Amino acid sequence: MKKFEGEVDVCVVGSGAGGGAIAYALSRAGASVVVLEKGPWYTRDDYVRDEILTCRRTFWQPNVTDEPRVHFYTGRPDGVKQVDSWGACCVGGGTAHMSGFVYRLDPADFNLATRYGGIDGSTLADWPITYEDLAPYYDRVEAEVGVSGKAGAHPFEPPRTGPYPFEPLHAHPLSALIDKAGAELGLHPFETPRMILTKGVGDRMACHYHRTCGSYGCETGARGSSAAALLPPAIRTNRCEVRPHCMVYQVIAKDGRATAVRYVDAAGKNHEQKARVIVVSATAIESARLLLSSELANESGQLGNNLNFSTFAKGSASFASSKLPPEAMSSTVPFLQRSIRDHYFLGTDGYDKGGTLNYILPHANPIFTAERLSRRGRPRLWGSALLESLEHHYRDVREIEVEVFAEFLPTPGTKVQLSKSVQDKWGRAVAEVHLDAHPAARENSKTLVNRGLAVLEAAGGDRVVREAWGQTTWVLQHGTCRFGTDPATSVLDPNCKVHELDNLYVVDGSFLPTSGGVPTTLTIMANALRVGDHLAERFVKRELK
Amino acid sequence: MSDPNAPVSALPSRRQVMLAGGAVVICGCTWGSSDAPTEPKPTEPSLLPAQEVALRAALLRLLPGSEKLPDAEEAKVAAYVLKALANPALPGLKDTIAEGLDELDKAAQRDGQAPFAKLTIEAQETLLTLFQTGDPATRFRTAMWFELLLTLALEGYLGHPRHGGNPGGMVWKALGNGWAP
Repeated sequence: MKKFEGEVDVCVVGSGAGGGAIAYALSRAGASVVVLEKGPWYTRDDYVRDEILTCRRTFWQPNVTDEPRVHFYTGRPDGVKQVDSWGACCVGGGTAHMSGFVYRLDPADFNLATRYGGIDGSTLADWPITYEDLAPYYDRVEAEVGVSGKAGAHPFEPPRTGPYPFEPLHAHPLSALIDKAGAELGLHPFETPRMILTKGVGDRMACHYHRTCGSYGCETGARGSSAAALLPPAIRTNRCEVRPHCMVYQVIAKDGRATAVRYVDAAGKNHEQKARVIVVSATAIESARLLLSSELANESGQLGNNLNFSTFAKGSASFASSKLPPEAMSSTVPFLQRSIRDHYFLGTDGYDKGGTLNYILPHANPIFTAERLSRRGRPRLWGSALLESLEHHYRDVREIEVEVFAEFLPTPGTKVQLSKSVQDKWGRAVAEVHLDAHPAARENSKTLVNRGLAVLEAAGGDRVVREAWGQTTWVLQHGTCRFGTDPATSVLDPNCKVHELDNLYVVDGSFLPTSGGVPTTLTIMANALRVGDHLAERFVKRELK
Repeated sequence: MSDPNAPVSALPSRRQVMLAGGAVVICGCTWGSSDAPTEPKPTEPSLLPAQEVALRAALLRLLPGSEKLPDAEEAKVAAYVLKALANPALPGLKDTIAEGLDELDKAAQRDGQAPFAKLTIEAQETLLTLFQTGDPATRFRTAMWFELLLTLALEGYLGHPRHGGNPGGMVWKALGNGWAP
């Protein structure tokens, strides 16, 4: 990997979906790029299927005593120190351990404020671009990162010009239950598009169907993490350097231009990296924290506001072995691979935005499974009761879960601020995350999961339970640097450039005014490629000094 | 009804063990590149002898085994827990567990005139149930302690053998869940 000294064309802060994609785009366009990542750089050999190491300690997230966030929940004046909203701090960011569910947004997602005419208690806004602006970049991500799926499989599919570049993944035999029950209910189950290769490309192998996927790194490179799919080709251009363990704490600007970033490395040494363009992509919460602490990008007073997530809801059903074909009990395929998008809009009175139903198998982690079963008791099961439940779980039943990706209406009370009292291990103010979910969005997530559970009931589920609704998916975070055409009400312009600075951009989920009813990874990557084209054009026009 | 304010990860299988408002921090073993986390050197000692006796007895009640499944002793769950307690990267964990074990023995003396390990199985289960729901006779947070102990017990029982419990993946094999070391 080439090492740069002195000023480079582009400095990217963060190496996840947005940072990786723009480093990929701009290095291939001819720019010199330095990517600064606060976390480590794991190799595929580091990705071991060890639940304690990977899923229950600090493999992905920092220690809460070193780098907490302070979360404030509605009606609770005291903040809680947490790390849940960190996602993954490593090269690749959250894409390193994502499940890779990659649906496109719907064209209607781009103008929800117009559609609903404003909603009390929400700061809902239209997007300044359209689906048509983003569609070519969806095509590019699907082709260049690699998405498997089956096009034309349901009437609610957003417009697309061709098939998915990779065949769908194999699905567990239980998927037939969803197909049959969905059809009986007049719904349209389809094969979930995944950012997972079903055919090897270069040094990335096809998926080997390990029994766990999400929460772990991918040893084969089949999953399209930024670290597997975007940064390696960027590095191969000899114009991209990735520096792990580099925590950026300040963006410096002068005379309307960002000039450099300051960061601390693993040894605690401070550095300054100069660049003609600074691109911040450190996740919606951390990018807001960085810009707030840099006292930049906030002439609108909106920086940190409009934080939004994906609203989470979930349910499950169990199916007795006596009702299932033998292959449904014996199959080791880890993916159920079925989604339903018929309820993207619920068709109810008033605000009716719903989202996507995603049918999955429960995560196979053994400790997690035992804890899940334990919590089904009141109080928690332990002793013989828990062991019997564990044996029953593996021997006698199979379970299907339905999880919901629902819209999260932005509210005035959901935002990021700098803490006045809590500092990280470097002595810098941490982010306060204020959560005040809109009741209509929460309610719609309940309606949505109930409709998802109706499919499981129709499929013959024995124990159909709604487990959660109206909750927050921390790792899908957006909105703190909302983009728009009006500098008075938005932080970024439609090209994701900070309104008041000529060369400071933000390309993580921060730009999103709304989250849609899907996981946003695909959209963040597509938008970063769009911004990459815009920046490449500015370089060609010599607009960037 | 779900708690509207309860935080939820989209990766529910991922969970840092929480202890008294702070995260229990354990770095994993090293294999692979130099960027993988390394395990700090354990410190000694972990528990007093009486505390270890109570620990082993409590673990046996939490994981008593079955015709098919090994019990906590066979699965070396105590070895895992003791290793975790001796880990300097887990500040506060050993003290909390040790204090709870002392409280357990005190409660056993109060209710059964014997240390916890000497009580009948039924009496041990009754006492652990009391601790699980909160023992009003003590200011110590027994319910939090019980949660923590159960979490550690399940980690030792069902976690990767390299951490000290579940030797050879014996529990995985007995469950037939397809996991292997």
